[in-house]
Amino acid sequence: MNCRDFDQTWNRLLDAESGTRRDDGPEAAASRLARESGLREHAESCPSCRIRHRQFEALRVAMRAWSARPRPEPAAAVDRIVLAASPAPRPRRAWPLAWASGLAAAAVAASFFRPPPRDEPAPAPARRASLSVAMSDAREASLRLALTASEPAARLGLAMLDASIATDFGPDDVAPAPDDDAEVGPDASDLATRVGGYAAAGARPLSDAARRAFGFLRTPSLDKTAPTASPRGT
Amino acid sequence: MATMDDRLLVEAIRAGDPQAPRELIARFQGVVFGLCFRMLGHRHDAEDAMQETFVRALRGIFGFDASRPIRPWLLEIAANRCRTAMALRARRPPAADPSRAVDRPDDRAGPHDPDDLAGELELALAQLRPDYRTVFALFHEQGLSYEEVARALGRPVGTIKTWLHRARAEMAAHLAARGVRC
Repeated sequence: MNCRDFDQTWNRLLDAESGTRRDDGPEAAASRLARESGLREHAESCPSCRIRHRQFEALRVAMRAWSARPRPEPAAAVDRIVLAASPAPRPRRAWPLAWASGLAAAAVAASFFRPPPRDEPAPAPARRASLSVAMSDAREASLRLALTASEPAARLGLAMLDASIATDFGPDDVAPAPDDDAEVGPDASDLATRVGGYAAAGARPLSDAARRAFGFLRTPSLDKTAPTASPRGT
Repeated sequence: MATMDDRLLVEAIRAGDPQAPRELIARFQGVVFGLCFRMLGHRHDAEDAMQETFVRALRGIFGFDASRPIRPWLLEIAANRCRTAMALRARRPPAADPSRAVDRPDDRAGPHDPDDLAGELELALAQLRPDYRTVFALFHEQGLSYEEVARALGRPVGTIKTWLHRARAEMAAHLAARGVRC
């Protein structure tokens, strides 16, 4: 045996040291004893290999102790992994965006309805007719804009506009109106501010809280008091 | 399910058997975690890498060649996840959070228990360069063959043998320097 054979023989012995490869059968034991005898003979005649021989013997003993220790185990994770590997639900991100788009459209449309300040004289009939035409145009524009986001959002925006129109100006004002001296409704900028505020707050129109928040649109007159329910609670 | 071989297990997963993924994880999580733990040296990072490994494997099971053994394939995925994690770790600034410290034994010189041979070997293992440490752990701790280690790490078998032999030689020298004798 030369020094190269010495190293190779030691590595073959150490290959068999891991738990699953360890063979303590009689044939394996006899083969191991024969190899170790050859290693000892070479180590006695080779000073450098004698040192390595002692080191490898210490390594083998340490490996046996190390193999007998508990292995690092992961925390119980089967359920978590199976859940993580299951198909992801369809993203719902588009819905809030669509609703927000619809609400924003409604808010923009409502901003067209800003009436004159209350200390100004009542609008003349011609001005009233122009306002009705503008409202009608805004209604259609709002509907088209909201439809690009989503149909439910469009329906909501339309319902909000209709409610505000019916409440504040009367249904007949949407079409070119006959001359009358009906008083202009409450401050539409307040409506726009509230609608936009709820849209920015991310209210989901189908939720109970959102219904409560937008409930003022269905009241006979614009409620000046702040809603008690928080849109954030949806 | 307990006696199902790996090939049937893959077919069961593909067929939608709800228990099959659980069986796959239960069967291989030890070896996958062992590789991740040795490569990353941090328990939580290793568990994250293990989870990513199984998630990717389950989602990609239809692309797996079922005629081949699944364990090296899983370990190959795990090794890739660990390399990605190590690259991300190298790019981020050092964390002040002590929980991010690598789980390595204390290798400072000083009094030690000469009878704690397993602890001494763990210290020696921690001193190895990462490639050597991973090969040693996969071969001796997880019981993989040279061929399986080579496939998992994407290296030739000859390279794996060389790394393992060098790892042993370095560990033997380290133990001697620590005064460990049999």
